[in-house]
Amino acid sequence: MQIEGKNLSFRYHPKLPWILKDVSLTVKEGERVGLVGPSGYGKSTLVRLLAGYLEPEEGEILLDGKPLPRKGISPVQLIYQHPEKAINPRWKMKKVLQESGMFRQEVMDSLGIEKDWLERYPRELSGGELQRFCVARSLFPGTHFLFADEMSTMLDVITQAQIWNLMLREVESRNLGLLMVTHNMELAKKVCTRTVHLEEINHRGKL
Amino acid sequence: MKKYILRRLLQLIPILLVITFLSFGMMRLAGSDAVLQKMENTGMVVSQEVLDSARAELGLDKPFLTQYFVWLGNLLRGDMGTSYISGQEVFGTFLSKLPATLLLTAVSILLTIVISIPLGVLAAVKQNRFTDYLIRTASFLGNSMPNFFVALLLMYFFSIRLKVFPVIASDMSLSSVALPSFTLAVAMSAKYLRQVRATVLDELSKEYVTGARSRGIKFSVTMTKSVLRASLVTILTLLTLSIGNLLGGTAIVESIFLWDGVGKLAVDAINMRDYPMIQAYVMWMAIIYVCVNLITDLSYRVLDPRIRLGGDKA
Amino acid sequence: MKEQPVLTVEDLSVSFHMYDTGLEQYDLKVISNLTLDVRPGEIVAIAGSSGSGKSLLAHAVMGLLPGNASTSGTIAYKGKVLSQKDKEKLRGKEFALVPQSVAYLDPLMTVGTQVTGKKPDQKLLQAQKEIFRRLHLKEGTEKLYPFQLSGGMARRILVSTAVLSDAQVILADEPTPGLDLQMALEALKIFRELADKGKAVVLITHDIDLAFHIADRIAVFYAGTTVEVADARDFLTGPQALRHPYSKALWEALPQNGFRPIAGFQPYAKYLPDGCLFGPRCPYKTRKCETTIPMAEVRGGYVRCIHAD
Repeated sequence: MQIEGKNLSFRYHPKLPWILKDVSLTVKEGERVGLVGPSGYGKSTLVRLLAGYLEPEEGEILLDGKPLPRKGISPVQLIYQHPEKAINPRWKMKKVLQESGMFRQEVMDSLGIEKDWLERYPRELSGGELQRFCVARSLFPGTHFLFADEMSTMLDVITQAQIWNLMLREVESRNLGLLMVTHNMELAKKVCTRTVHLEEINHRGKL
Repeated sequence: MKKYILRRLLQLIPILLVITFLSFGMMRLAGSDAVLQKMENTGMVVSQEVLDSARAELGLDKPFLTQYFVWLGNLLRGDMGTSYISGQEVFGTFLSKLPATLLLTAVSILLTIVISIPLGVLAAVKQNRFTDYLIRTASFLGNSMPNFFVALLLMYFFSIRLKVFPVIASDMSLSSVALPSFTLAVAMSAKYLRQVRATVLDELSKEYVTGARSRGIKFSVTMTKSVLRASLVTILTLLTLSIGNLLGGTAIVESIFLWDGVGKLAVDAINMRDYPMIQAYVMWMAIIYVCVNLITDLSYRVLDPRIRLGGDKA
Repeated sequence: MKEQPVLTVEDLSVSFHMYDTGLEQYDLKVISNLTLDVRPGEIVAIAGSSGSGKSLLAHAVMGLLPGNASTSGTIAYKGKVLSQKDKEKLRGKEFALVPQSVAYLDPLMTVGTQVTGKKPDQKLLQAQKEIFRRLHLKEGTEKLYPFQLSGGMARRILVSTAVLSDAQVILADEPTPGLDLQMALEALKIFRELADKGKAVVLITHDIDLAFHIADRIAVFYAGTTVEVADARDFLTGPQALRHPYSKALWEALPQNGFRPIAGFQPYAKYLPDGCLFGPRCPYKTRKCETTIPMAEVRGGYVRCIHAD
């Protein structure tokens, strides 16, 4: 399986400048791509386009040559920088997992989710602990691609290493395609099979 | 901007059509009609022929749709008809009642603002301290007392005991409007005060308030420049809804104080099945709400740059 | 002899009074027995896990803790122990905070007004232009409202607010995430220059590999307390120069140093262990670790571990 963005262009409003112009990027199953580049070059926007969260103004996104499915569980799952914003603060963690059908022993084991966290509310867990839940609930049987947008930027280095080691194990055992955005070149080197510099494939010119 | 306002005002046309049609229909469903009501009120027993001819005179014998379109046609020619009951022109009668309602609305809203905003802000700033508890208790009391009870209480103290305000509003002077408007303001203030307090508390807990404090900005400056301005958006929404309500007249208070406004007029019209009058009232309400909402939306743009400058970028 | 510290935090503990579901209440101890000092002209970087109380320390110093927080211990500025009133007088003048997110900017005010104040003089305006230019913020950025900023822009604006204040002590709470390497280095360089001008800078950061190069000393926090304070050079040298097992673990978890995390989690403030807070994850843990562990001087640094040598 592969996901392909073909000549994508995007801007938020016809009066505003292009954020992405004529960008093409392909992520295959089993490969780990690091998306790097200076601040404000549209890394997050590109990830959102490829995940189908935003519509490109030009170009198309193809999953094995076909448009992304609109209904059902998306084969592309996105993990954000701020897990605390992606989880309902009024739910206990157990309910968070149940909602996505991931309240299963093997999922919790593989992501190192401790039993007593399940009875806590999100505010009673740290960012790294919450991020594990976010990863856990995106690992559907039909998930083929994981996109991580600055997933570990707000975490300390030990938690960062923990969660990436867990992620990599899952990505490898399920043969997922990974696209990760980071500012940390050292991290990209460690995690990815190849890196893409957005400033080299984004043809929007200087802002 | 001008286009926007014009578009909003044009929306009034379909709204008025739908709403007048609905009210026309619903009054027919309610049974009875102006002729019957009039007869019943006078206590006379009349023959069927008299009733029929009275109905024919008013056009009530025609089919429902015909009646509506006749009324609509007259309206488009600028004729709102005459009251079935008094025989007076609807438009003129309605206009004559408006000043009283406008005055009552303006004074009670003003009183509400003057009472609820300072007290609500004070309660928020002194959260969970004595002042807060006192204000909240007062608000609780204000909320629990029905309008007519407040009215009677005020009458007893200010009119009968202290003799500072008249019992019955005989004219449109400030002393006449004082008691009815204060009655209305008590209930509204009690409600708003809680809203103001909750909104201000919510705003105070936001991080930018901490940020401003860290930059050494005085609390009073943050309070007036930012917190109040941000809270105003919510408060304004509530206030305008109330203005709409009040402009529609407040039947109970108007009746108690014999205040001659549109609320009383509407209740009488409904009781007597005075269709042309009811239609005028319904249209008035629709126009008020559209205008009041428009003004609210416009004021949001002034208060909040996020709305003015066109939404979130991301 | 080194200069006297300008800011001293001694034995600081912070608890939050919490309401559980229903009527139960409990105290959440989020900072315990924390010690830190900063001298004029130096940058002390604070490293440590998320939730180790780094931001709270900054808020405690600025007197910004919420109403349900209670503190013990002392915070002193130039030798004088500060009351809440003192802090309120000092903040924005002697103390400046670079807060963690754009949410700390007033949504109804333009960026420029917030950076320079209502009626800035020529000199301040000039300084603002200069710092915006250095941080690659385009001309006209000062006229924008916070909601119009990208994450990276907001971060740089927060940095510039502190720089333009005349504060002697600058507390920067995560000033670099979301910035690319070049921009992050530029921001850190600005802090270095401020320190070189004699200001004291406390730099709270997860980008510890960058901090090792820019800071003078590193304080390592764990579960709300200081476990080690040492020369930044020791962190550049490697684990053999470090004293606390947690500091060593931090170093080894860096992607460039092996990317090997230790197992386990920082204890949640509601269930803190007795004695050494790192105990449950520590390979050297003995019975003696379950008693109160004081800070001790080891090889020129300070460490809260009885096994350090």
